[in-house]
Amino acid sequence: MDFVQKLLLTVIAALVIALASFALQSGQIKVSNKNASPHHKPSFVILGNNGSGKTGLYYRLIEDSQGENNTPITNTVSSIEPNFTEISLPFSSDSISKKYQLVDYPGHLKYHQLLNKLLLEDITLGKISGIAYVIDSSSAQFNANVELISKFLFNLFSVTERKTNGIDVLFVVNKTDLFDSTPVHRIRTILETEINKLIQNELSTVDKNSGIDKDDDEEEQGIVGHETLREFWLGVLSSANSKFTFDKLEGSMDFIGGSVLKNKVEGWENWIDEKVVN
Amino acid sequence: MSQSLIIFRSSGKIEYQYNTKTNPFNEFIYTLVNETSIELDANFYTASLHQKRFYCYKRESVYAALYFDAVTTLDGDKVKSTLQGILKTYNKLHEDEDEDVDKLKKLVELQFNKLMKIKLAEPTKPRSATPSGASTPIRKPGTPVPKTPLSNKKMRKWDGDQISSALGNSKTLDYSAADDSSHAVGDTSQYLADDSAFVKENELVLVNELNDILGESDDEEEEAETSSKKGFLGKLTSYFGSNIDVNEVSKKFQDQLVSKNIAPSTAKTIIEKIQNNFSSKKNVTMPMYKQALTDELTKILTPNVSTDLLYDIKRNSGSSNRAYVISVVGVNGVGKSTNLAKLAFWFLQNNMSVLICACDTFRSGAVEQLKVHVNNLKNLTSSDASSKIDIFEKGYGSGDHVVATAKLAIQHATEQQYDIVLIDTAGRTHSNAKLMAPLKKFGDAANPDKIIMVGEALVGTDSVEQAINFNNAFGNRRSLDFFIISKVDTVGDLVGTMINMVMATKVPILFVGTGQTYTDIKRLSVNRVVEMLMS
Repeated sequence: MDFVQKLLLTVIAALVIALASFALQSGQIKVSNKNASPHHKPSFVILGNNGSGKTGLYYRLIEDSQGENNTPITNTVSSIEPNFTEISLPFSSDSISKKYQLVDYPGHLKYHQLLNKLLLEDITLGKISGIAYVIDSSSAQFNANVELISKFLFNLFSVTERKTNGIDVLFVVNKTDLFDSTPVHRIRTILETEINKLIQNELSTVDKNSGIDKDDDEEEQGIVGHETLREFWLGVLSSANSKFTFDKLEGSMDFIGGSVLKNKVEGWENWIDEKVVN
Repeated sequence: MSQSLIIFRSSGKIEYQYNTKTNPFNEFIYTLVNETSIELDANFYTASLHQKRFYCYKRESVYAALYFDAVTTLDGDKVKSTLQGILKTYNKLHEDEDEDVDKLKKLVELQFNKLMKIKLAEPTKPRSATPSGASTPIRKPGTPVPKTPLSNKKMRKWDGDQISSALGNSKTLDYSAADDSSHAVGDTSQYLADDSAFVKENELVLVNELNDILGESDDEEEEAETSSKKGFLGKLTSYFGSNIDVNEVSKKFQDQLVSKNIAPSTAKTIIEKIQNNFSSKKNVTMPMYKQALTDELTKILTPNVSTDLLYDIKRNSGSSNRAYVISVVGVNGVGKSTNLAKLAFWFLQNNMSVLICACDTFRSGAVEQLKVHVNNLKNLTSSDASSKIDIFEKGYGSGDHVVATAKLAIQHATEQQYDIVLIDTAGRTHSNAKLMAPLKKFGDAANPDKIIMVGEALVGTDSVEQAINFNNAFGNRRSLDFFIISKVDTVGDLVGTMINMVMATKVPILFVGTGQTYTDIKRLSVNRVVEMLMS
């Protein structure tokens, strides 16, 4: 009898499993695990314009975290897809060795819409330990791209500052080995003026009732705690007449020069280490 | 002469480079991302930029790309087969544990040089002597060219400075005959003749190895195909893992996209791209597929240029004397004048001065209609602000009257220090060449900073044609800058027209019209449109 009972039980169990999996497959029961995204883990994100040196930095950091110093630079072209990898940080000591996700996101304008999704929904703001924004400091490139950069930062800050205390941003001022490289402090002041222009532009459109200026689209989407760009920047400046500086943001903003090509990356690695240890 | 070849991953990492000229590829990749490159074949792309012709073949996440000067032309099929061969070589050697960088380099260079030499020889030596089915233009005359029906890959042999095509199994190489033919092409490839004798033997080894690899990889592919037929166990696990049949789901989603007013051909292109991405992967689940489609649609709709029109205009008024000229084009009755007025209202709200120019000098009542709009807008604008609006019209007329009016209006605006000139044009049927031709003349004369096409969301498959014809109407140096999609409030969630127009022209949508009043114009919310399409 025992044998028959066992057999019956197995048959019933198999049936139940089959039914359950069928229900799952046909989507009748929704598996409700939030943040099912594989990228939901502590992360450092590398952002920047096309050709600023993101992917070069990405591979440099990976090699350094594996203790392989002084390897030649990895040659790269424009990325088509974002890069994800796990590295153990901090660089300086192997004993702590926490796992972090390193993300290298392409600079194409086409991908900006998806970037917001990645930051907000996949990784989520709480898990971003820091953002490295790479800037090509050669004056030809910088002057040509300064509007794109400031516009990007203008939008990026409105996302990153939603986190309490903000997300810390490292400005990776790359290619300082070039003879026409713009000094780090110059880059900072130029960006501040440019972003200030954008903010003033945004603030000057208060109380307009043309549909284009109204952001009710976003509100309907119901991102909780999301304020409009205008409210956000007004909050940052505290009064419409004051001027924007990076100090007014909650996250710490650090500008550090270096060169991926010449392996002058200590400053950036120290910054990352600092964020890991704290 | 510049030419180069790279193998790179979609992550941006270069796996192999022929020489140091990797910079030109960045721009090519830019066209790949924006999808302005031409897809010749599945996974095979080409584009011409800055007098260089680029070709790229993609397999999974590895790309092989090359470029050369555009003065020479090469048969696309030849380039494709070379790139395929190079990728196969790379994949083969990459799989092996003991990665031999040197060997890879040699093998890839061999194939690349072979291709480039075809290019060199082609202009001087036409393909007269080659029998049909040959993949190499130069061959010793008289050599029989047997073809195996089974392998579509031709085995090529390399003998110094000459290519001879032969069958994979025939391991003999007729040196004397090869020498003969090398005289024949001596003038075109002299500089290579010297090292031929010395390196010949070495290269022969390489050629054999290459042939081995190319042959082997072919087998592997077939094997993979047969093994993908799942056994009983595979079926069982797929059932429990809630995997999906990609083809079946693709069909379902294609139908859904078509039902949302996306043109069937466009929907097919989108779905095929996703299918392609998943073809190499196993264990595809429904959420994965949905996510891929959502991402793809988002990518399509996200503009690839800066979209801050107001900021552009403000900068222009600071730096240039000329007023910022915007002209609106479109088919009859899509709402050109209405959306023009909506834009004008937006500019007025932002303290700018606007001059509206009535260039629809064809349809009776068009000028009067604009006058009504301007009067309304005048009443809505407070008099103390720096904003002002006026109309510029020179009555009705045909032929050059349009161009003359536009020119006068811009001149008038510049003198009176208006910030913006909005030019309304006559509606025209996109399929009528006689009506479309004047657009080029108009574009050249007025040289608008932005050309906006208004398209209605109501129209179905025809939207593709409309967008393409209007985009081409301004000649090859000028194209549309962006779209306004009108009447979006009338279609519910059938917003597929947007995808149609953007896919056909790669021109972004900035605004959507959602009603009759001046405030019923919105920025395009990409996320919402994608949500509608996916629901």
